[in-house]
Amino acid sequence: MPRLTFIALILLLAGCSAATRYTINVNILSFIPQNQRTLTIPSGSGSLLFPGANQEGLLVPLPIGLDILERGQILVVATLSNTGNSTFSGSYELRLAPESDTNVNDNAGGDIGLGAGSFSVPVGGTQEISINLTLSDTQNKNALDIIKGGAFRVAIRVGVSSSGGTLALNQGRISVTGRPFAVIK
Amino acid sequence: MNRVLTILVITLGVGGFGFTQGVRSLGMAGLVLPGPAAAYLNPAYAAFPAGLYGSDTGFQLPIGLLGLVLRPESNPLPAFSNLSSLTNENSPFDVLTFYDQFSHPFQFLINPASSKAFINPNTGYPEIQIEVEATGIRVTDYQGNPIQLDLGLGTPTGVGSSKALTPSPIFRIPFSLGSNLYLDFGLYAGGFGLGLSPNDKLRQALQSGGLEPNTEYALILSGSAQAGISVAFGYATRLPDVPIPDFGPAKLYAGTRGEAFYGLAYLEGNGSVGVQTNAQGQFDPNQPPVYRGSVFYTIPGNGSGFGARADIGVAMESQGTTVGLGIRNALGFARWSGTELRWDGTSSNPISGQSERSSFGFVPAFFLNAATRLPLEVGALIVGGDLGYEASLFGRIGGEYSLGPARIRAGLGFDNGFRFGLGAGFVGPGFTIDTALTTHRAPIVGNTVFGIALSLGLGF
Repeated sequence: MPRLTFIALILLLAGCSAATRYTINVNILSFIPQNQRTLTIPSGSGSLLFPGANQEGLLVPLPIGLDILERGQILVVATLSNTGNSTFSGSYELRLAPESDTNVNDNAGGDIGLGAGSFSVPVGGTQEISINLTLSDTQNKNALDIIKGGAFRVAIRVGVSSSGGTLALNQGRISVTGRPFAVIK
Repeated sequence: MNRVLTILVITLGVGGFGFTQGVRSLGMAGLVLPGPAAAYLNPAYAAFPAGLYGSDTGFQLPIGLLGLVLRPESNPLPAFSNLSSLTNENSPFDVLTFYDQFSHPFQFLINPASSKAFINPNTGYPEIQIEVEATGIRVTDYQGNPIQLDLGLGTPTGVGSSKALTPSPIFRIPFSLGSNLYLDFGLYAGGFGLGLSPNDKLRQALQSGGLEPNTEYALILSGSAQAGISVAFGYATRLPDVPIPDFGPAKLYAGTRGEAFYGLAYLEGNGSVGVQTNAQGQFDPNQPPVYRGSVFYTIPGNGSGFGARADIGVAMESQGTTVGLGIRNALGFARWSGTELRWDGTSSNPISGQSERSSFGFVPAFFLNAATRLPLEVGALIVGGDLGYEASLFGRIGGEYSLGPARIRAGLGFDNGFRFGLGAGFVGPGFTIDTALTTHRAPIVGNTVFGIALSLGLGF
């Protein structure tokens, strides 16, 4: 992967000490085209995955796939709007999967769910939901393990009951922190 | 490639460490005063009286090596017994400090570059942030300030445009042949340079965070070095005095020198590795990196070099004031044969073949310097200046004040950037000690690093 070479060279260039941490901040939102950041939720009840048309989620090309990551953070902020005439309610969950797992919503092949929550938006109203997860050896370790593997997939699953609404992504960031010297053991 | 690396290491050992500028001169920002020691830059000085403006005879001590070992941040020795002792989290070892001190072997650095400059007070350890967006990558410190990504060792342009202009010899053995003729054997290894830097587009992108479509973003590695033996045959003489109205008679000196070299090792390389953005200004994850550039090298047993050049110079001295002009490589020829590796951007494997590098013609290097002695009521003062052009323009002004056995020096100049010097010396019975304060810009972190150079001269 050229980007890995590229980043590796930059890491080399920046020179560091054994204690230096590199933090890679990936702005996931920037990888989703502007006109695809809003999901329209049809009337009825069911489960929707966003983004990704075929349950594959969004591939985040994390440029480093080394076992040097110590911790990470995932932040997703979205706004739910009720455009129907009844209460828009349901639950949400963040789905995370390794790059090889092209269905992030089947609990098979490595995908996991985390950061679950629920919402209820009155008619004509909006509600902001936020998933803010810390990944470390003690918190959400299974998610950290996926990210340690390199490129990964991410999506939001919403289980809804509504007469019409929208979900607009406002923020999507993943940051991972690692110590490159940990490569040398 | 292993052989190229071997040459590089050998040249670093011999040439890199051999590349010195006298400590007395360092104390005056690198100023070279008129005198026989400057005969390499101006052949007329071979006939000039020694000692008129003092001399820089001391042996420069590699106290940088002491700095390397004494400071845990730059000491790589623990790695020989146990690599992990260097790389574990609590190890004080700092690559940046090591690199900075290692690349200045004749200076004990007082405040070497350190990645501590990147310490985030909230976490207590150095942090570097890499912001990845669909449109680009930014490398910043924890506060979001872009990091300058340039590393260099020596001057990558060390091998000048004329290959006949060999680096100044590490040591030379002169023989006087009488009748103002001399013969001089020298060993040279130098012109050493190694540079690693982003290309202009990448530099721009790392600061703005934006990528342009169909553009190659690359890191450039350049290196140069050469080593060989030289033999010079020179003639320098004092010409009849020239009367200068209102000033008195002026002593005139002229010199010429023909120098031939037999080259043993040579390296000239310039390569880049990059990635190309697509029409949308994004990186295509499936596109392989693009390698470009070439490495030309000669090592003993695989090619050699030879060349000759002519240098001329004049100098004039009157009542303690001297002006001299030297022109090296007034005419020069050089030819190196060796191996060339070339990357044309299509594959990571180079195309290898026999090749040569040659140059012929008038590619002069100029050196103009002047100095004067000012007797004071207490002590004496020498002030001087020089101006030269080799690969680029350089100039320095400086002075030395002597009072009894003590010497105090200062200077200002430009030579690959602004520099200043401050120095002191002591002339004792049978020995001299010189010390100078040096400065350079820290790689990556960018602050000014101060160093101390020391030399010891013994007279029997």
